[in-house]
Amino acid sequence: MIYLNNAATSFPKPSSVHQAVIEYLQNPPLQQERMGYSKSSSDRVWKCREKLAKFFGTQHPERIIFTSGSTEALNLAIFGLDLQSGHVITTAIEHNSVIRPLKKLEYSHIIELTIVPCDSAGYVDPADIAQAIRPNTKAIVFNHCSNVTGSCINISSVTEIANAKKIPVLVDVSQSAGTLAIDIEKDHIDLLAFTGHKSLYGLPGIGGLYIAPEIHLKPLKVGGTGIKSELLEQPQDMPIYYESGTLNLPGIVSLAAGIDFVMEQGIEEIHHRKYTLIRLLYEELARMPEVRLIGNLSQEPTLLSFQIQGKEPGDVAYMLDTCFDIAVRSGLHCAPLIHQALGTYPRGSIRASPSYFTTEEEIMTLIHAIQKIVTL
Amino acid sequence: MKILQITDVPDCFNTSLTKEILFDQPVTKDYIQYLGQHGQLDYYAEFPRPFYKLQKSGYYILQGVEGTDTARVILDRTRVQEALQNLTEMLIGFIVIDHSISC
Ligand SMILES: Cc1ncc(COP(=O)(O)O)c(C=O)c1O
Repeated sequence: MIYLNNAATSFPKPSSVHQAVIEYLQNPPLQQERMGYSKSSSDRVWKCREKLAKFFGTQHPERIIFTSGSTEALNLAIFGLDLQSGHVITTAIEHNSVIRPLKKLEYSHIIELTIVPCDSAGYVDPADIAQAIRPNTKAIVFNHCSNVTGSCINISSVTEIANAKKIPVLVDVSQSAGTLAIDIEKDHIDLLAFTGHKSLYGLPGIGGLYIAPEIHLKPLKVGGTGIKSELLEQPQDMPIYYESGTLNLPGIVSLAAGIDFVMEQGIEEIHHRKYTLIRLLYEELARMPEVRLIGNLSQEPTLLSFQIQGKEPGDVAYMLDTCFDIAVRSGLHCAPLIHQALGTYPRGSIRASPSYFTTEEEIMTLIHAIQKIVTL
Repeated sequence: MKILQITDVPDCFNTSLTKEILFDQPVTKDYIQYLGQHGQLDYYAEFPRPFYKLQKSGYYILQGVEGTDTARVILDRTRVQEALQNLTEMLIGFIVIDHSISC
């Protein structure tokens, strides 16, 4: 199978990730203490926090909270902030893991919500975000990089404006982490939600949220923390304040190995490889009059969405899968608002998303398959 | 040929009902030709795995690959029962269905 759905979840994982998980399963931590807070070099959870802190550019590993993925991280941030009677700004390129929690707050009359539009290529102008700010704006939530077009919002151009007005900024880096450089301190990010199973090459079910020291969130869950068990209320220490329950240790171990892999290859090299494949695909599909390309190459995206005239995206994906053994993703990609702006709503698009391991030959096979499908 | 199982295929949309059909044996060229009597049939024999698609306008789209024992049907949400009945009746003409299709 040619797997081109890495924006959903990456496959294959580096062999070092396989080895780390197997090693964990053969040699799990059986000591009495709970892992993750001891700051000892033998604590695999703490080591992963330290790697994440280094990777994302923060001095505060203890402020990285493990979650089941971006969805939980975004829920923790959105429902944890004090947004009561406030105004929140988000954008049209968001995933449902941002849209739905915010809409829930809006429908409950807890917040007023402004959704900053994007243009017909999926770009959001940071100046439009700045313009949407009101005196009662309590948060700005945005997707660094669209999972439909690959278009990105420059983080610092939003945080600069928001920091000046002391508005917390929550950035969803689900698509960009592992492909684009992200620096929490340089970019003054207050809250950063990431997932482990896409370009960080970890297992599904692991991700996290960075919470800046000046930000206080209500925990999403409370319960056992493995330490301070005599307390009947949630201990306030970081990170356990937000991490009740047993952590996803195999996921954390896989994520640590995935980050090592990304750091070894280098973000720039990874981005260059993926973008080179997307440029090839874009240029070849642009020669086919029946193909409508969505978005453009101006921001060097690492995924590509398209439609084929007269064909349902779902049918094309099904044909690619069943007849050519190529896995892509069709539909709305859990991001309905951007499809409205792109004119691809409600049927959506076909999305191809390579990984570091995808070859040029595989992209050529996809191109040849599409050549056949368009002539039908 | 019998239908062994019909399962839901979750997708992004709320406007169509996609189901996966499991037959008790692989789909043959005869079967695909038979489908052609019941709607608009597209058959792509030149694909690495030959593909067929039967469209019964306003009711359903049935599609799959020759030589495999599964197919996909997309039912029109506005008339699910009618579309299912129509599909069932059409299939009975070629295959024996051993249990009723429910939605
Ligand atoms: C932009 C974006 N945000 C959030 C998510 C949700 O991530 P997770 O699967 O880790 O919950 C995704 C995953 O598809 C995504 O692409």
